[in-house]
Parts: sequence; C-alpha cells; structure tokens
Amino acid sequence: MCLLDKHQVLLIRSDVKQAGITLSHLSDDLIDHICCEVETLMYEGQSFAQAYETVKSQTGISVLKKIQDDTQFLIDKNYRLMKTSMKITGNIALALVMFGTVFKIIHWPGASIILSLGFLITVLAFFPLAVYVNYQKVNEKKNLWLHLAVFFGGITFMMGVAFKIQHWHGASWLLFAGYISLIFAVLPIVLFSNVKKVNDKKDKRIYTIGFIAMFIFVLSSMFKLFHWPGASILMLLGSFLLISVFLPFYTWRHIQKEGRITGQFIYTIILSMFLVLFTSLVAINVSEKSLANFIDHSKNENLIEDYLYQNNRSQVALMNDSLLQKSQIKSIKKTSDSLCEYITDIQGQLIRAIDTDNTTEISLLIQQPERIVRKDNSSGVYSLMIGNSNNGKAYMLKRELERYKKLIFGVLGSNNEMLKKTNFLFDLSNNTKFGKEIPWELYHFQNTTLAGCLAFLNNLQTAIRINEAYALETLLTTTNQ
Amino acid sequence: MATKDLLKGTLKPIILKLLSEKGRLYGYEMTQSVKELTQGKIELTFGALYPILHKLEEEGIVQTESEVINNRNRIYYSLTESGKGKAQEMIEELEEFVSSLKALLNPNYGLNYVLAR
Repeated sequence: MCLLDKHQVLLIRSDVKQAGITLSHLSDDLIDHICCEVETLMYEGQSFAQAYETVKSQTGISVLKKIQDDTQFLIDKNYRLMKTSMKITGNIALALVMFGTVFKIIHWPGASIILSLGFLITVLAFFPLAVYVNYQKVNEKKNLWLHLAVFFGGITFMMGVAFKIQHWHGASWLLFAGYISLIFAVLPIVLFSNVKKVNDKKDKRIYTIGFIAMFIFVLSSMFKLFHWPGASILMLLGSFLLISVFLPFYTWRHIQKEGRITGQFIYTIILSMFLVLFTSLVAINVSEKSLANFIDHSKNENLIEDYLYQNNRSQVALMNDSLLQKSQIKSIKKTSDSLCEYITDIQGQLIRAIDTDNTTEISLLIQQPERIVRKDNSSGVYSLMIGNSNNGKAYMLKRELERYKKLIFGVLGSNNEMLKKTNFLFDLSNNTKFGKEIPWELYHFQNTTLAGCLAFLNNLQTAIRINEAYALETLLTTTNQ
Repeated sequence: MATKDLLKGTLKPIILKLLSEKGRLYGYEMTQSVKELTQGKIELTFGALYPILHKLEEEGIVQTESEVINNRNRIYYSLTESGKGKAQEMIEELEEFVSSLKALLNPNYGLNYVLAR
C-alpha cells in the first residue's frame, strides 16, 4: 500500500478545513477517508496530483459541507427544528414583502399591513434563526463578533427600511445605525476573516477588491438615502469596481478551482429581498416627490384664499348702507364663508381619521401639511369621502356646492360672464376615464392620497373666494350705475 | 446496483451488521467491505455513511476511538455494550424484512399463488 507523506496530508487537511468542517470528529473522518481513497488510486499507479484531483471531483467543498449539514441535521433536534422553521418563515416573509410591495405600487388597500407583517416575520423570526443556524454551522469563537454585528446591524437596518416605507418616525436613526454597523463592523470583519482564511495571494487581492467595492457601494446607498452630496459618484465608482473589476476576476478564479460554496439559501433570500426593497424605495421616492408638489400647492392655495377672504371682507365692510343689493351681497358672503368653513372641517376630519387625533395639532396640520406623516394614505380618504354605501362627505359636499351655484345663478343669472365663470370654477359634471363615465365624487376622491385630497379641497376654497370676489365686484358695479 | 431509495432504510442495520461481525472498523474500511461483500452492487457512499455513524454515536449505539496513523487521525467505530443488543434487534428486523420480500417475489408461492386462490 502506498502511503501519503506529511505534506500531502497537510494539503488535504487544509482543503477540508476550508470547507469549514468543525463538527466534533467529522473532519478527522473526512480527512482520513479522502487520504485512503487517494492512496488506493496511487496504488493503482496514479501520481498524487492525479489521484487527488480525481477524488476532489467527487468530494468538493460543497459535498463536504453538505455532509456536515446532513450530520448536524440528523443528530441535533434543535438544529433540525430551526432549519425547517427558518425555511418556512423565510419563504412566508419573502412572499409577504413581495405582495406588499406590489400592493403598495398599485395603491391597493392593505399594503401597509402586509408589508409590516412581512418585515415583522423577517426581523423577529427568519433573520435571528438564519444567523443562529449559520453560527451553529461555523461554530468558531472568533466568528461570534461577526454574527453579533450581523444580527444587530441587520435588525436595525431592516427595521429602518420598514419604518421608512411606512413613513413612521425614527426611520432615519434606525437606518443610520444599521448602515454604520454594516459599513464599520460587518464588512471589515468579513474582509479580515476571509483574507486570513485564503492562502493564495491572488485570491487575497480579489477579496480585498470585492470588499472595497461593497464598502463603496453600501456607502453610496447610504448617501443616496440621506440625500447627502456625492452619492452618485460613489455609486458609479462602487458599481464599476463591483461589476467590471471584482466579478470577472472572481468568476475566473472560481472556474479555475472546482467546488462551489453552497448553502446559499440565506443569501438568495436576503438578496432578493434587498432587490425588491430597492425598487420599492425608488418607487416611494418618486411618489414622495409628487406628494411634495401637492403640499406646495396646498400652501399656495392657503395663502391665496386668505388674501381673497380679507379682500372680500373689507369690500363688504366698505359697502354703503343705502345699496339696493345689500341683502344679496350679504347672503353671498355668508354662504361663501360657511362653505369654506365646511371644507376646512372636512380637512380636519380627514387628518383626524388618518393621521392624528390631537385637536390642536389638526388645525396646525391644515396650515402645514408637510408635517403630516401619512400623507400617502388613500384608503382613509376613500372611506371618509365615499364610504361604504355612498354616504360619504363627498356627496354632501357636492350638494353644498350645487346649492351655492344655485344661489349665485339666482342673484346674477342674467350676467353671462358670471355664469361662465361659475360653471368653470365649479365643474361638478361626470368625468370620463378610459372611456368610462365616472361620477365627480369618485373621480376626485377614489385612489387619492391625503396630500392630494387636501390640495383639491384647498383648491375648492380658493375657487369659492374667487367667485365671491367676482360676484361682489359685479354687484357693486351694477349698483353704482 | 441497488438504488438509493431501496438502500435508504437499510443503511443503519448494514453498518451495525458489519460492526458486530468485525468488531472495529474505520469509515473507509466500511465502504470497502460493503463493496467487496456485494461485488460492488451496493455502494455505501461517503456522504451517506458519516451522518449515520455520527447519529449512531449520538444514540450511544457505537463508540469511537482515535488513533494517529500515517500523519492523520483515524477514527475507529465499534459497538458499545448497550449497543450490541440494539444492533442485534435491528439486524434481525432487516433479515425478517428480506425474507418477507423474498416470499413476495417468489414466482411459485408468492403473489401469483395468493392471487390465484
């Protein structure tokens, strides 16, 4: 029988060690087994290099890892339980997050609940289990810090993303903490432990490039998220390093060597989640912008309305007591005021139903809509304005507007200019969308975000004030003649 | 060659039978013995063997001792005192199963006979 020398055994030992076999005497079993097979082939006349190559093709790193995994799965009941529940919770969480994202993008109701549930399962069940299972597998003391960093960094980061998506307070702080631990703890520890493990100088260089690329990439996404300057340059540099430098080298090295590192389940799930989240974050950024436009619009409308209100009031106050149209002017003024108040009241009810029930806060939020947290909520708008059996505020509002129009027509019906203006400002007819006729109420209050709805209501208030101003002007000039 | 599915439940008793016959074996030796005894028809793979050996050790049926042989540790497996009885039980169970299978597959007194009655 041919016997291996010390160096040959050492080579096999280091290869088995690279597979991360740590379970009791399993690595001794495997090393001995591989040595025996190599010796048998060498006895049949092959050289050591040939023989080891043949054996390695059947016992690559992935095979060794799988044996360890199977062994642990057989002997450790806890491990078995954890691994199974990890797979189940991982799949459920992924499905929920994906569905939630789709719902969110299409603006269907229930998106927030589905997303929250998905994140809750990820943060409380899947992620801790995954980290623990992985830690059990590696089972080395020095890896404790890495796993702790991954655990806390990952949880804060994912909670941050969840908070950000739901527009809850504190998202920035959570994300910041998650990013800091990812950039300054997880990545450096992974880099050092990987570089230490690898013997080849070329591999060391490739790993270092890969981690620097990751470092820059993660940093750039942090800059982007917090809207700090320089994000685009960092992202360009990071993706260039990652895609055109690291990946080709890495793939090339991997093709040269055999045996892929598997057990990629965790990575697949985390990665696909990350991708889904990234797209959703981009989508939310876009909708955030359109919300911001609504808010600017609302604030402008508030100013205009206030100006017109003051102006109209002073006009009426200056009015000569002997005017013939005095009672008509007064009734227009009174109706306009009460209609505007009614609309402000609806705005308050909307904010109360969706955002906060603090009464003093509500009147402030009408003036400063940018401070509303759940600007993007549309289900609350629908249920208050439309309701279940078409008894929502929108129907009452339409009736009030119709009565207002009737009053104006009653007083100034003979004035064509006034008729045209009123009809233009208060167009209550049905709209057509995709060839279908849609009532005024649904057209304006279905699938409308809180920010959009508040802006539309402000618009109505301004229209009332403008119309009031026209009416006063017309009445005052005709009387003077 | 026997398929994986057929082998699945019989690996444990096969290993125990080997150990009760030969007393003390290391992993590679077991795979070779099975190969020799069955003229290569049954192959005990590397990937199936060690998880089962560790499981048997965990259950207290086998014990291990380590010896340094030719620059490496060799792990020898043998039955424990309490494991011997258990091993006997499992081997007998397998034998019974095999003879029942034989009865089923016998052309004269097997299925055909029962079905013809």
